[in-house]
Amino acid sequence: MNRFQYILRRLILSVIVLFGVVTITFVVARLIPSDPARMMVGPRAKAEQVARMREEMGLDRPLHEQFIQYVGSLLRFDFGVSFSNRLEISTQLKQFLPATLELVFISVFLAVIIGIPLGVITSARPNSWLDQIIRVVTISGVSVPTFFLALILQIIFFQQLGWLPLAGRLSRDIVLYNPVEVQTGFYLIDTLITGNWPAFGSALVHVILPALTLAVYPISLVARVTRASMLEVLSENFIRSARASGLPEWMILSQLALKNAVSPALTLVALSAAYSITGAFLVETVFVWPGIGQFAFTAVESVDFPVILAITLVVTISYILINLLVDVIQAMLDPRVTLD
Amino acid sequence: MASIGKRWFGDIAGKLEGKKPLKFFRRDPLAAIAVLIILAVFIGAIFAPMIAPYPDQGAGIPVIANKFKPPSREFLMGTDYLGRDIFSRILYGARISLAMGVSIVALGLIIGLPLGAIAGYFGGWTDEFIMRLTDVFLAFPPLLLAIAVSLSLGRSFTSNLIAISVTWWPWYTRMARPLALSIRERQYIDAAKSMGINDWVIIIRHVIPNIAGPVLVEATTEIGLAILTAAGLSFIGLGMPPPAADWGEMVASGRLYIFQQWWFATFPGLAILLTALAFNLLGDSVHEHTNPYTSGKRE
Amino acid sequence: MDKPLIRIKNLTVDYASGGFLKGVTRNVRALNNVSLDIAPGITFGVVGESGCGKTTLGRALLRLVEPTEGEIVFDGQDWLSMNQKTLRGKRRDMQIIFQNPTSSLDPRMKTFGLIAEPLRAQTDLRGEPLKARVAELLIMVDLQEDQMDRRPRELSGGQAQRVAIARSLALSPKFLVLDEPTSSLDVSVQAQIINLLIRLQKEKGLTYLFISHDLPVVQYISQWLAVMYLGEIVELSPSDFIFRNALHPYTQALLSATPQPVPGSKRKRIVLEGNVPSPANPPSGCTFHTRCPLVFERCPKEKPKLVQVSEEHWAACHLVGEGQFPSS
Repeated sequence: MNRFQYILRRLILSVIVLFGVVTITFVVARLIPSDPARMMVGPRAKAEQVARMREEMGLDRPLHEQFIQYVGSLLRFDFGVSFSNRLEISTQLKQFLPATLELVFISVFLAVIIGIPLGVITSARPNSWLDQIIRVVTISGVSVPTFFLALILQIIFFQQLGWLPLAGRLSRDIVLYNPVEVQTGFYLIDTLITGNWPAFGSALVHVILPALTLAVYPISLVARVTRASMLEVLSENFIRSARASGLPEWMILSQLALKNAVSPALTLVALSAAYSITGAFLVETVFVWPGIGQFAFTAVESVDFPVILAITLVVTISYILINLLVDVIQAMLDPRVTLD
Repeated sequence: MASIGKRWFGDIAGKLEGKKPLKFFRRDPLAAIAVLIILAVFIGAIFAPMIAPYPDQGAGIPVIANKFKPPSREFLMGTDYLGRDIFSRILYGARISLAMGVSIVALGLIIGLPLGAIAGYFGGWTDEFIMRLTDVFLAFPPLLLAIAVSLSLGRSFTSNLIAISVTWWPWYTRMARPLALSIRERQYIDAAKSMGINDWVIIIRHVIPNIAGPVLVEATTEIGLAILTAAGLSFIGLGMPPPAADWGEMVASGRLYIFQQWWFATFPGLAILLTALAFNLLGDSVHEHTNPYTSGKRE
Repeated sequence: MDKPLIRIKNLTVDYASGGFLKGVTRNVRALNNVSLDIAPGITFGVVGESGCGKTTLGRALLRLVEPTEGEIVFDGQDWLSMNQKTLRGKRRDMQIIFQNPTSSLDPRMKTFGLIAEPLRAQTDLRGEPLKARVAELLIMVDLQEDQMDRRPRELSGGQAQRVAIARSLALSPKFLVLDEPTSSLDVSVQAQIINLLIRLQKEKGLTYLFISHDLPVVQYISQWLAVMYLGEIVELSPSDFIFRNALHPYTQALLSATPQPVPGSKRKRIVLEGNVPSPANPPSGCTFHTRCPLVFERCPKEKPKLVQVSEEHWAACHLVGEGQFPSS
């Protein structure tokens, strides 16, 4: 099957999966033990207020109608209203998203530029002492609980050394005296664009710890996966014949082997994005970083179901889209892809 | 049923036996250390009531008078905000973490392996349906779906187990399916059919036992990740409710006092780290040994 | 023949390749309009090169693959129209032995379990009576009781095949399909297994369908012989008769290639040109015409029918139909 058939089928697949995801979130939403209407009006509401809210929310209609209503509102990007602060969820999501994306981008970037070379180097000489050391380092990297690492880094860099701030995106002084003119929501970019140097410094200093903490898992993972796939490629026969014909090792590594590992590299980007998004929840909680993760954490604390479900849905859909994009790009680059 | 179980485990034991354990450890000291750590954690968990210096505190009884004592000979790892000996709490917490890690993987296998076998064996629409289902569950970021499900089901061991297993099983289905596809063509399957044995019995008696091996091995290398995920869930506040000695929950509670009473959050965190590290190291060694690309190059 | 054990009429088996997500679906006709009768108690041999459909014939008989067209009457019953439930019970009467004994035995099971499996599935035997029956079967195939604990990889080829035979006899079948049962065994062991099969046939009154590409072996054990090419029967007659009276050019070529037990007997070696065509793309008319040394204009145009040449001889060749008997 040619590439376009593949891409088409992949798209259809994504739509099916999307539908499945929406259905499951709907099911989980219905699993909630408490009465959503009551939660909306508050514990001190009267029975008739609750009943009216039920009607308004459409909870008295049969399930399939509710489902249609649910899908309909999703298509309009209407995720409902938060239980705890009565604000629209979609606006809050938009508000918090850039902060998380900032972390995720840095994390993915670091994962690729540190992880891939690490993987390549260790695959050049497997089981050497260098390989073993890096092996321990990377395995440790995937074994550290992200939230614990965050705390330790806080102890070291904030409490003991005093080099980096504890939490937040900006220091209070900056917020008061040199506020950021928000354009993109990415403070590092916004401050640069508007020439707000003190704010830039503050933003930079605040982003270091969260981003590094977040990046540890993806870097380690990418290094390990790259090493494995490089080893696989290196043991193939065409590499052996290249070696036998006298090509220098560095050339073999960089040109032949790496080229074959590029397609997996795209997958790695998606993979590190995936783990970064998940890790962001824990990191933002510890560093009180005002992103979606922190938003989710407070929602968990206040048992705010609509928010959790909305976040789950949004993040999952992003996952699906990222993977779809990666698959499509790979298909365009490599004519040999198949469906499984 | 028991004979099937015996057959499966006998086979794995056989595979490991062939590797000559002692030689295995001399060549791979890291794996040896990992196994020791895991053994230590298991022993600590199983014999917690006997090893813990303050078993009732470990289980959760507060002793306010001892609040926030730093590590000393009396309290090896200090005490927490309710005066409980943290070392004892960690031993009791080992039970939860280990049980969680193993149960998540086990439940994932119990759901995922047969589904993959069924998909591979029957093919056609059954296969399509199961694989789409797998795709849907794989689309969710693991922690998120677990949070959503946990929130709905409440805070308990079972709810956490279900919440995380729900995201775990698809990997095993994906792994089992191609294995089942290749088994399906084997002649002993034809032979079984010709004896009039129905398809479901064939799947249970012939397909699953013959594909379980690699999937089981892969699953055990994931116990570390399972423990980390469960700890993450607890940290957010969805783990087992107090007074349970849940490591993740201990870190979350200790976080508030991290700068003065650092021992409160640090020791549980280290416990999670070491346990996950040990399982991951072991898993990595197993991968290296069963991987045709790297195991040949050793020595 | 009256009251054949198996009557096969116009059996056709198509395989579809490709599938839903792959696009093109191609039809491969593995078996084309095969008809034959098998009398009870005899061994019916089928020979041909790989791809001729002989294995498909065996599998279709056992309904391991469902025929596209045709009729099978087994022991007086319409075999193909039976639903899966009834079929399951009736399967006791028809069993199959495969070519490679180690792949026909589940590598994870011990001998006892392997032989006991059909008994557990179709009878109420358990515990001691079950063990006794398994022991009985082992002795029947000249194995010792202590082999019960062995796994297939611990058995030699010959022993493994004996286990397969014991297993197939467990339910006292009437009919056994033997698909190349000795082809993967050492020559010395082959003879033992063949003789075992012959002995068992006499003792139990079994009927065999013996499939092989090995002509001397088939001739030794079979009373009747069918020669197949690309899914069709090209010649059919008692096996000792076909020796000297082969009419179809393909049969003649096969016979000429087999070593003769009587040295000095004159036989010109007929070497066939080219390779066996793919069943997915069979030649027009007579499927053998691309390799036939006696081909003439009619052959690529018209497919020869299997005609009765004499009381116990059928052949499918235009030369035969014209009354001209090609000499060997």
